[in-house]
Amino acid sequence: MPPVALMLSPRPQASAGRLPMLLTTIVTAIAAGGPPRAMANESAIPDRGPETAELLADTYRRRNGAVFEGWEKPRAVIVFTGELEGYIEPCGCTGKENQKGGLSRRQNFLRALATVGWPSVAFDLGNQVRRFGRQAEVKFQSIADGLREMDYCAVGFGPDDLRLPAEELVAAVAAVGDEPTPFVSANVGLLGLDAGITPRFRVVEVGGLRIGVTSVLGDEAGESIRNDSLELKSAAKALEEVEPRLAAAKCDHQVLLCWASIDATRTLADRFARFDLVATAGGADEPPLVPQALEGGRRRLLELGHKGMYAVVVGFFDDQRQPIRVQRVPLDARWGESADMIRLLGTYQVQLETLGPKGLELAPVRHPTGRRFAGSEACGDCHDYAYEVWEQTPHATALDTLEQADPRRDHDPECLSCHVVGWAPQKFEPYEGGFVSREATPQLVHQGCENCHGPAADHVAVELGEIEVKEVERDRLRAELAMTIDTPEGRQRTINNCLECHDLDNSPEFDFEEYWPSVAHSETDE
Amino acid sequence: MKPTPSSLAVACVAAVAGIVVGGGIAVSESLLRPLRVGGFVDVGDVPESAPRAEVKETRFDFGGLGSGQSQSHRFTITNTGGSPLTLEKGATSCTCTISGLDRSEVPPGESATVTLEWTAKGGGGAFRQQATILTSDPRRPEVAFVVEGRVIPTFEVVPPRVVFSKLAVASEESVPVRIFTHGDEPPRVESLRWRGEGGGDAEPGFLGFEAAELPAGEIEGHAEATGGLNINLTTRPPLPLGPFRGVLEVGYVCGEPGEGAAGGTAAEGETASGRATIVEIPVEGSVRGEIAVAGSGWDSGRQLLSIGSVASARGFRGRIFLTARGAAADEFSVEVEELVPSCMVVEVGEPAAVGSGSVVRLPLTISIPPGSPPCNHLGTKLAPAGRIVLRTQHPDAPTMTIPVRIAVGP
Repeated sequence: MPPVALMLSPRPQASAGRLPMLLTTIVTAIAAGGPPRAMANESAIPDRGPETAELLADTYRRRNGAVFEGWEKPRAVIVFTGELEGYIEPCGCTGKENQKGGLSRRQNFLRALATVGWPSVAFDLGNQVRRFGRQAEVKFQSIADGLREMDYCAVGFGPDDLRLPAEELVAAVAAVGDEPTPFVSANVGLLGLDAGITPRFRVVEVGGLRIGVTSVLGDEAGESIRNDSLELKSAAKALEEVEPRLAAAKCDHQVLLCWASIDATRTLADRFARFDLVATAGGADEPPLVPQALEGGRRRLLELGHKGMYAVVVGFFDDQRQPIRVQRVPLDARWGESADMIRLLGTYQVQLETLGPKGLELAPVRHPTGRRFAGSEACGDCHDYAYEVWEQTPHATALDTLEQADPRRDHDPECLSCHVVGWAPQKFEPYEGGFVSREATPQLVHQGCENCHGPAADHVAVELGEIEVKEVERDRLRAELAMTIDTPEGRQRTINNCLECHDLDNSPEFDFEEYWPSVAHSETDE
Repeated sequence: MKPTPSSLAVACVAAVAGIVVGGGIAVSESLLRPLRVGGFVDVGDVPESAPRAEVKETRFDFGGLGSGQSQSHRFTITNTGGSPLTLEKGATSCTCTISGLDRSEVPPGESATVTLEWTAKGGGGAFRQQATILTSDPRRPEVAFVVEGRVIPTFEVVPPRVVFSKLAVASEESVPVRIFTHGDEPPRVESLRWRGEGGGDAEPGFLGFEAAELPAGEIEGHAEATGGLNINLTTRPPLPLGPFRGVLEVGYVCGEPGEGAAGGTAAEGETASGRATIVEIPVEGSVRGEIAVAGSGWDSGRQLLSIGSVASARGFRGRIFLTARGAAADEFSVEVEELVPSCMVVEVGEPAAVGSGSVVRLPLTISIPPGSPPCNHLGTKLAPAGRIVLRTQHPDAPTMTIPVRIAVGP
């Protein structure tokens, strides 16, 4: 219960008297939960126990900071998120517990706010996906479903969203039955602004406050989109039309979700000064601790960070000295995981499995070397020491990790590409002759030798005498696969190889010097 | 704490409310417990003799830093309290940012130095990372130091990749890609090579590339760029149906070859001069048929419209769109030829151009009037899917059938 617990942290003496009462209220309410609590627990993620939970809370407070310190219960809050960029959940070699972000924690955080009675609405800046292609289309639909489930009131469009075919966007975005679409845009019209698929602005009421909100795609971002099924208006022109209508709705606050650089956002914010909260796409991976002020008093420019790692919460208070407070909230493991979002992720993974490589329009590409794969076991026939070392590393069970995950994701190209032999790690596509499935290509399971050393089918065939070649050719095949860390160039090439999978997203703690000793397998180490 | 009448009343109300909301709270209880942050400290009770961490600067703007380069900065924490201040290194937001602390115990009146060292990672743009120092000052148990600035890449590609969202077979499109460089001399293209899926390095027949130097006027004003190239990608109809994906490799020389690109990927490449920088520009897109369906319930994977179960008493009303491009967009119109179930009503709206006009949309309003008889067209063996059959003006596709999954129940 973050808000209650947060009131236990240091705060001004004047309001100290209310704390014990609030504490009594919450403790008694939980204690009286009884049978409904038992039933609900059956569907919830298994509890980690109070001691573990406290340790986790303390760990993440130290690591990523405490939140809402000194906050009384606000009149209302707006939760801003954005730039998910396909990171539907954090993942990677370092473990989810060490990373931030994901829809699951986001939902739990929103639920925590609701549970402790903070009236709240959620807005999203946009750019749910990063890539193009069938998987991105399916992912966008899944994320849109998730945002609906989380009751988002306003969701903008980022440029990567708008590169998807409009037909797919419409299917994901359009209103479902009586339920209005959460998507809103002043200057982007799927199949035309007058098609009415998304409203150009929205007014919501929360905690007795009327909040007007709209979103725009910046002009520079718009220029990079080649999608003739969209109507794109200039951001300024669109706001000239929409902003007066928001003002006429007599909103207490006006919010602009602006997918543009910080400078471009500031230019729009300065021109349309009635927006007192402006969220921008520009900025660094991490949002600032304190948002920048905009001209004209209590206006704020909100950077949300990248990859959906943070939520930025704006609280409204009946306090003339501090009517608005802003808190960036790291979506780390302290929030736990939501069973409903995990179920949604599971549905997404099942869709990927059902579609398969053909349905996902994934055609194998030629490996840059032109060679084909043999499988790690074939390497082990001769290179037994290296093979034995490899067998003891997590590389040798990489595919198992995907199969054992919840939900399993052994049909997800974005995961498979680093967990089997013969896929391009940063392109999420198979090479010719690369892993197809455990059944079809059992020799190519796990993160094997050839992902680093290169495809070795020709070399194996020569060494086994299946092909006869001259000695010089045999030696050339051997040399092609050899790697060394004894020279600066060799070392850098090896490190670059590791970084293909151990990149900033999946392995932010990666340090070659620390990691190498646990996989070192030079035959001179024997 | 002695219970007061008001707090007892609150407790009673809460006990009742707890049973009602217990479900909601219970589901979130496992969320709530991890969020307790420890004991309460009333700031007013902190004695003057307690340690006090005073920090004049917590944020450092380093301006610009080349990608892969490192820099460091020192911050100072002074103990202005009455007893020793204990300091401990906390977390950093990234392994690219390391903190150093020269002393862990600071006597009153003295200071400790916190050194942050960071490496500008990534392909360029805003950079912000932080390191936390934990203190024994009860008023300020932790101090976050932030470094921020801009990572300057060796080159920058705008846009970093090219996506043709939806092309028709006859689409003619041209996309400029600009490469901004930061070398000492202007860039010169040495090679232009297409690496397409399915093998082969030859230029694909449906895409053409042309390279030229970027005019000075377009380079000025682009952050820290000293030179630039313009690569023009042009589609050449007829385009093959289906998705396409490839990489355009641009090799250029510009003083010394560089690393750490923004957009595309840099690699040390071999060209005629032997020292070029290779920029990889991913290109992908999709060429699809001239008429498509869009709307809530449209399943493009199975190519059917999924309406699902409809209550007869309530009926159903929904809207989808047909989109037409290319030759099909000229005078695009349809007429309803057949509807299954027969109770379904489809109204064809007026066509309208989208944006620049190369795409035309046509709304179809689909309804099941209240009181319609029950039926099952959910697309199983025993209950085949329904359909909307339309007559079009397209010479190559005079009829269009939209399968519909629907069941009308009581």
